[in-house]
Amino acid sequence: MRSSVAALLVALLLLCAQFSFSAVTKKKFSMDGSTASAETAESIAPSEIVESKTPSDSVAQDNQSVVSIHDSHVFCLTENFADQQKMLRENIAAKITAMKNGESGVVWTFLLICFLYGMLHALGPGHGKSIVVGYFLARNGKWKHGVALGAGITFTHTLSAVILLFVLYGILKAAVFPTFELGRQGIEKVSYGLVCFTGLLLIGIAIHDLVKLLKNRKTVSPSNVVESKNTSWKELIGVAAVTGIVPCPAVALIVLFCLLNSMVGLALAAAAVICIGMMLTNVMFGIAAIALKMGIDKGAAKTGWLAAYIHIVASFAGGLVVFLAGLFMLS
Amino acid sequence: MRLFFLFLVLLSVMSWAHPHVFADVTVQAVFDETGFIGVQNHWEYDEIYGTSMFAAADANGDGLLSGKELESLKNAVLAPLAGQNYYNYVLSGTKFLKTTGVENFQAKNKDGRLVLDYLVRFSIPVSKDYQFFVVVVADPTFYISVTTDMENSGAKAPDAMEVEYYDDNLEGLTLMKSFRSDVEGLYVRFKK
Repeated sequence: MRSSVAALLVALLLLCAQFSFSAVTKKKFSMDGSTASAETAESIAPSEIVESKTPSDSVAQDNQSVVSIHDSHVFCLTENFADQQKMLRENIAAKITAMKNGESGVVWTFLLICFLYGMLHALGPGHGKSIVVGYFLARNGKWKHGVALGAGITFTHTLSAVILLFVLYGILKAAVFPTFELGRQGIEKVSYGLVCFTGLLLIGIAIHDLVKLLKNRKTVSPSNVVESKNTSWKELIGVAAVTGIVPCPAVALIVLFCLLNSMVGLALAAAAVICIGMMLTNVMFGIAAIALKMGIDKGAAKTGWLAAYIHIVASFAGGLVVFLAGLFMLS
Repeated sequence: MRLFFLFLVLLSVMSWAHPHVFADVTVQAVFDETGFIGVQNHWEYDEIYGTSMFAAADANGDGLLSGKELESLKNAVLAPLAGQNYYNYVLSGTKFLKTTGVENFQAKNKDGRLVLDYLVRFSIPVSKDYQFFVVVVADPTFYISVTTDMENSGAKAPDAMEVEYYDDNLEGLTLMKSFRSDVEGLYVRFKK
């Protein structure tokens, strides 16, 4: 009897609790009327999404131009990239768990997913694409240089993640990731600072070339100006090191997930395959950058003396792209 | 030259999509008799990130987090986000409200996924007239790709309060334009 009374009381209490939250309703409302006078063009924004045709709709239409980029197809594309990456990451986790449970046959599917994940992931910032493009606008290179810079940046980006993670894992074991993130953020700042510096250096070289050309217009030939900007392997290694040194958290997380599941070999294989996937994306950007520069060179060659100036402007623009890319990531 | 600029524009837009962590989130605008008091956050992280963070906090390896372990996880996950309002953006009029902190932090492991629940404190006192605000929980830097389940998001308020809400995209909110177009907000109005 006592227990049934208690149960009844509990039921009543639950009912009361439910009623106490009953003042909340899901309803699309308008913000017109009483509060309209207090609103400014910026603060009335919620009313802009109300479907009713009110005088405020005209303000909404004015503001649409500001946010019109939201509607672009390119944005839909990037959202898709994120969703695809999420799906691939879930698949990677599922395959690792399956292999841990003895399903070794899924290893090839796992590696294929890692490769696709790497390709998609490298489309984001911090993988040196803008630096590759900017660098080859500023310096002359051949196809092999474009491939080498794209691949070099990605290789350094992956290797730094694997080394940092393994070192920290050796010291901290499972507690590694928050420390890895702290380390990565520190390296990131230094790297982006160095990228800014590289951009400034390229801009400085372009300005120096311009001054030199203006001073010795009669003695310096356009071909001298163009050839003076040829890249070198030493320079490429430097740019790849500066840009790629930031450890890739995406690689680190997957490597760590394998390590936490006691799969050291799989961790290294995953890192290698993700690296190849990312490399493919970055190499494509490297090749595109070389093609772009070759196109500029071809057009400039027809202009005679103007060619030297076109090369200097391209160098300046390239330096600016590198500098701004560094600044964007730094901020 | 036109091709070059097109290439650069494409490059800069591509740069937006760069998530390293994925989270499914639900939010509740929470009220008491005094007014709006905060946003209840429920985050479910992707298995790979969640496992890493859980393993880092679970010092004794028993698969449960308590006491110092919970505090350690809170510091690792939320402390770096304090400057960004824990990615809770509450727009009231033309201003974003600043949080006064996080309360009732709880964490658990749900089928390998790290689940966090906590209240991010804000304050808008209740009045007789309607007051409006918009809640968005998202990472504008896109390091964390947040998918907010708006169907299960909403508001909790006592009987004495009249609260209405709906979810919608952020189109037209000029102060929210740094968010991606798929991010949705919770539009809320309340009065005594």
